[in-house]
Formats: sequence, structure tokens, C-alpha cells
Amino acid sequence: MINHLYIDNFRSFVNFEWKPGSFTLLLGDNGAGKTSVFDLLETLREFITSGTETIVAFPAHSLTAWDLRLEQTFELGIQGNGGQYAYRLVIEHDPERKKNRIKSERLAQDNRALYEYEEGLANLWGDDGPVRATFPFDWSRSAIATIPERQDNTCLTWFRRRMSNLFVFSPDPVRMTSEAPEEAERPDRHLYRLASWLRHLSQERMTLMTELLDSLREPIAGLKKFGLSKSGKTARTLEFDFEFGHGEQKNSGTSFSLPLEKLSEGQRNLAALYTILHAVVEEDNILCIDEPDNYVALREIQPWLIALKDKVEDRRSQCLMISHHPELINYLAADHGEWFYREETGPTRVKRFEWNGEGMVSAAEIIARGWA
Amino acid sequence: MTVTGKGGVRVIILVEDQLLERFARKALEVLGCRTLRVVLGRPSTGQDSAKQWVDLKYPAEVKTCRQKSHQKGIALLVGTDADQQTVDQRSRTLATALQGAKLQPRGKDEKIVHWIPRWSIETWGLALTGQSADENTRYKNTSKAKGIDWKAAASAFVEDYCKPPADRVTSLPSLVAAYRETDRLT
Repeated sequence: MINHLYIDNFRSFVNFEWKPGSFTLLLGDNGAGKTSVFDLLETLREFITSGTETIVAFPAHSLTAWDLRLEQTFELGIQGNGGQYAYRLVIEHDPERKKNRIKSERLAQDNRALYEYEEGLANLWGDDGPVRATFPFDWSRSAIATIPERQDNTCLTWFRRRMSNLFVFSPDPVRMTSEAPEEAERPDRHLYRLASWLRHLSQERMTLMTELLDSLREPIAGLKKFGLSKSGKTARTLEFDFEFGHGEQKNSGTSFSLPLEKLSEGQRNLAALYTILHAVVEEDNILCIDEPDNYVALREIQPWLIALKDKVEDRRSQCLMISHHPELINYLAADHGEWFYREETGPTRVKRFEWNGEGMVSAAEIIARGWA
Repeated sequence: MTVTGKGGVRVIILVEDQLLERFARKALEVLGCRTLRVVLGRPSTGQDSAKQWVDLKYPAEVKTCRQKSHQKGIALLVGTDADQQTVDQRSRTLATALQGAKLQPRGKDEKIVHWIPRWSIETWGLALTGQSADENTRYKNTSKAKGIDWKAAASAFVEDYCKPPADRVTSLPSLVAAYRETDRLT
């Protein structure tokens, strides 16, 4: 799990340090920097696993607006694979040439170097210690993304795999489509392509679809089954079949089908949330989810939240969640709340969310009153 | 394992912390009950504030539970640590809270259940998973309590509860009291 994050000179983060837990609720006013944490984690994932170029990952406008320095520093601590990983990346900007590049990049496990990049040269260590290779590499992207998996570099490739198992979601049911033109192996952040992801999951993990149906039957009244029906040469449409509860009425059938887009926004979001629960919350996975409660009926939030929390604990997964919803705040804040804040327009800071029992006002009420 | 006679009971759980909540939910699930709602929102700091929070919420939850008693199978389960008090003392505090709100005392047949571990739920967790535990030792935040398998503890609770009293594995007074309380869910 991610247990350390250091960010310097990125958006509103200056010399920012944070130690998240296995289940953490990120709280704070708008503009405090919560979503930026998720954005950065997603950026680091793509940088480390896909080889995204520095100019795309860390554009000039990602520098802190009031900071005159031209270096950005990021550190990530991940516990796992029998040790503590430490990743450090320094990006150097050149505003005149509108370019940037890697100044240094380093990965170590338990203080033992696995990879180092500086001055255009990459050094690679094997699992057993000595330097295995030194080679020149591009200043604009991480060589970690390109290193093939071998028997003697399992420590390094474990880290890369763990980073690829980091999922960031901001579900947006308004733009989720019913159509699945192809399988999507990886979900998109807003789950616009939920149907395509489910198309892939239905091929890869058959039991997951049964579990998902069981979970959705309770909050989506009358739901009988769902599936992907053929809607073109290769395209599929995600459809939900319902039983009509008043089938004895004149001129009415006993069942009907609706494509995903015809469900309510809340129902679409529930389909997305339970898919995340069943497909993503697994050992070695890191789930970041931004305002999962949007559009969801009040009585449906707690059952999903409880199921999520149980599964995160059972599977030893990690979940970082952002929410402004009283239901989530009151349930989680006492044990898992972290308060993100900025003094005026200053840098983002974080502290444990604490409030005392005087007056017995709830956590959500404390936040609503501006007393956090 | 599902215990007949308790199936279909829908329970509102009022608890002072998440460990108690998790234990209660899992045990209710094995009992065949359904958790209707978890009421959890204790302050994060302040001595005894979690307990005071339960005492404050308790009368309102009892009142609501009674108002909804026409709906079949609605129950209230209160989970609160006894800490330095005895189970009876902690239960009397809850009774006093009802009195203070001008509500009738808890009736013998009411589906209002008190689970009051002493010192805390960790004592039950250890005892139910086959480890040595007594009610004079505080196990909260100890390394011994960190490895408790709460799912197994909840299953063991129900398994033990279902046995004739003479055959039960545990003799912890607070657990025995909880078994008596669990009869109210029938």
C-alpha cells in the first residue's frame, strides 16, 4: 500500500508530506488539493508504467503558481513484496524552451537501489545486488516503463506492476454509454466506457458478473439480469432486464429491457460502484475514488460503503476516498478522516481530522459549520 | 450457519466504534438477521466521548424503534464497551438515558439488545478465537488484539450462542450476558 507521498512545487503542493492509511477518507474544502493528489497518483502511474513523456505528465502549468523554482519533486513510498519501496522523481523545467526533463529518478527497496537515472545515464540493479546494466536513456521518459520482466529483476517489476494496479475513479453517470464497441481491459477514470469494461470482465471473470448481479438486485428494484446483447457486427449493448411488478394490469407485459443509458443516473452510478467493488478491490490493488456518492439515493450509500470497507480489509487492499457527503463523513471520519486545507491561498497541508465530543455535534456538522 | 427464529429480523446497529460495528454486523449476518442501518458517528477525541455519544443517541433510537414496532422484525442493537464499569453498570447508564428522555424502561420482550463487552470488544474477539482473555485486562490497542480475525470471532459467537448454556465454551460474564440479550432478537 502507499504509505508515503511527498510533493513539492506541483499545483498547490509545496513541501507537502502525507502518510495515508489502508482506508482513508480525504476531507476538505473545495480547492484544498484532494483531487490533485489523485491526479498526481494517476500521472505517476502512467509515467512509470506507460512511459508518458515528461511534457505531458508534468506540463509547465503544473508548477506551483507562486513558486519561482523550476524543479518539481515527487516521492512515493509503497509497502509490499516483503519490504518498503521508495521512489523519487525530480523534474527540471526550462520555461524559455518550453521543455522539461528528468533531472533524477530513483527506485529503492529497503534502501537498496533498484534503479537510478541521472545525467542521461540509467543504472539498473538486479535482485541480488550488483549493478546489472548501465545505459544511456531518454531524458523525457522513465526507463522503468520499458524494462522487460526477468527472473533477476522481480523487485523492480513488482513495483511497476503495483503501480499499474492503481485505479483512479471519478464516476460520472451522466456520460456513461450503453454501447461497448470493443472490450476495455482497463476502466477509464469517469467510467464513460463502463459497458466496454464489463464486456471485458464478462469474458475474463465469469463469477464476478454473478456477484455483481446479486449486489445490484437489492438497490435496483425489479432487476432480473443484465448482459451484453449484440448490436452490430462486433458491437454490444449493455442491457438490464426488469420484471414488471404489475404484470396483471391490462395491456402490460411481465418484463422489459433497458439499455444502461435509460437507467437513472443513480442506478448507473450504482452499477459502476458495485463493478468497482467486485472488480478492483483485490489484494495488491490501490483504489482511489472521488465522490462516489453522486446521484446515489441516501439509503443506498451505506450498504455499498460497508461492503467496500469490509472487502478492502478482507483482501488487504487500499482505498483512498474523497467525499463531501455526510453519510460517508459520519461513518468514516472518526477513524479514517484526513483533513486537507490551505491557509488563504497558501500551500496544501494535511492533518488528521479530529473533533472533540463537546456538544456531540457530528463530523459532517463540524465541517458544515467550518469548524474543522 | 443460520439460526432459525431470527431470520428476517432487520436490525439498526448503534455502536461506539467500528470494531464493535464490524463484529455486530458479522454476527447478525450469521444469525440470519439483516442490518438495516448502522448508526456510527462518534467524535474522534475526548475522554469517554464515544460512550456519551451512544448514551445521547440511545433514547432517540429506542423511541424510533418503538414507533416502528408495527413493522415486523425491527430491532435495535446497541454495542458499547463497559470499560472500567460492569455490564450492569453500563446497562443502568443506558436505562438512565431513557429515564432522562422520559421514555419507558426497556421491556422484557422488546427487541432492544445490549451487547456490552468488558473491557472492550477485543476481550470477546480474543476469547472467541481461542486465545486467553479475561475481563480484568485491557486489550484495546495491544499487539495481541491486532491479529483478531473478526469474522471468525463473530461466527464463534453465534456457534457458542446456539449451544445449550452448559455446553458453551466461554464463561466470560459479559459474553454470557450478551447471549441472554441475543434471545431478544427472536
